[in-house]
Amino acid sequence: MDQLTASKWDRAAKSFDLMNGVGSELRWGAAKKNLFADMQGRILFLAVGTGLDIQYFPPGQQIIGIDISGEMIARATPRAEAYPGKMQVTQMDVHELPYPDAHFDQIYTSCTFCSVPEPVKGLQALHRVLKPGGTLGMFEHTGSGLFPFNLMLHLMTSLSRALGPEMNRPTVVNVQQAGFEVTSITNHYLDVVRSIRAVKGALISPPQHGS
Amino acid sequence: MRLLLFAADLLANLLFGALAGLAASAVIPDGWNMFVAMVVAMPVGMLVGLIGSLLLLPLLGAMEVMLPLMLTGMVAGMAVGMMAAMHPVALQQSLQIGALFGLVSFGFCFLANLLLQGQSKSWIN
Repeated sequence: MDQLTASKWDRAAKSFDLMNGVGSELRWGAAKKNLFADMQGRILFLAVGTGLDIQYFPPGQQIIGIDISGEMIARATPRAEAYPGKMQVTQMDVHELPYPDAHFDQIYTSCTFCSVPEPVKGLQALHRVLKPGGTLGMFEHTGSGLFPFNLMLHLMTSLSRALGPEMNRPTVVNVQQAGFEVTSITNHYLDVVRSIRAVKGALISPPQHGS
Repeated sequence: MRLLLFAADLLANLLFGALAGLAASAVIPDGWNMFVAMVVAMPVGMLVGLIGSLLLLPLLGAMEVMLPLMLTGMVAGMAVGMMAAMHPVALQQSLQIGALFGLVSFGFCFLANLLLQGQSKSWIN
C-alpha cells in the first residue's frame, strides 16, 4: 500500500464532500449518470472516494468499489449500503489488486487518474483484471491540448499536487499506453473534463490524438 | 440551473477580474518598465484568480471555475499592471478595466467550450 498517497487522501476525505458535493455534482452529475448507465456484469469501480458517485449508478448491479484511503472508505460505506444492488467497498491500492486475471466485465473510474501516482502502471493493473472485450469507462479531468488552458493546468498542478490531484495528466495517451483501445471520448468542459470509453481487446486501432 | 450557473460564472469573472486589476494597480508603481510590470502583475492577478477559484469551488465546481478565473486574473493583472506602469491608475479605473478583462476572459472560455463541448471522437459504431 502506498502510504503517502493513502494519508494524502485520508486528509482530503474530511473536506471532500464540502469541496465536491455541490458544484461539481451540479456540473457533472448528468454526464456521470450517462456514462454509468452502461453498467452490467461484474464491475470494479476505482477510487470510490466518499461515495458521491454511487447516486448515479443504475440499480441492481454487482459492484466492488475500491479506494486507497481508509477515511474515504469509511465515508463511502453508508452510501454503498444504501445502494439498491450488491455493492461492496474496500480499501485497496490499484497497484496491488488481488483479483485474478480477466475477473471483471467492466471497470469504471471517476476523477481517479489525476491522482494515481503511476497512472500507466495503474491502468495496466486494470487491464490485467479486465476480461478480454471488457470495457473501461472513465470520467476524468485531463490536461488540455489548447493554449492558454494547458499553461493554466500546468501552473495549477504545481500547487495541487501536494494536496491531491494533478491537473495536467495526458490520460487518454496513458490509457492507450496501458494496452486499451480507446473507443470514444466525449468532452464535457473544453477538452479537459471528459468521458473516455475504452476496451480491452483487438478491435479497431484508434488514431493518435492529444491528451 | 444552467442559466444560474452561467450567471454565477459571469459574475465571478467580473468580480475577480476587478479584484485582480485592483491588486495589480496596488503592486505596480508608476514609472516601471512595462515588460517588468507585466511579468510581475501576471502572477499577482493569477493569485487573485486562484483565491477566487478556491472560494467558489464548493458551490460552482472545479474546472469550470478555475480555468476562467485563472485566465481572468492573468489578463486583468497584466493589462492593469502595464497601465499602472505608464501612469497612475485610479481605484475605480483599475476595477473597471479588471472587470472588463474578466468579461473578455469569460467570453473566450464560453466560446471555446461551445466549440469543444460534446465533441466526441468515436472509433467504433
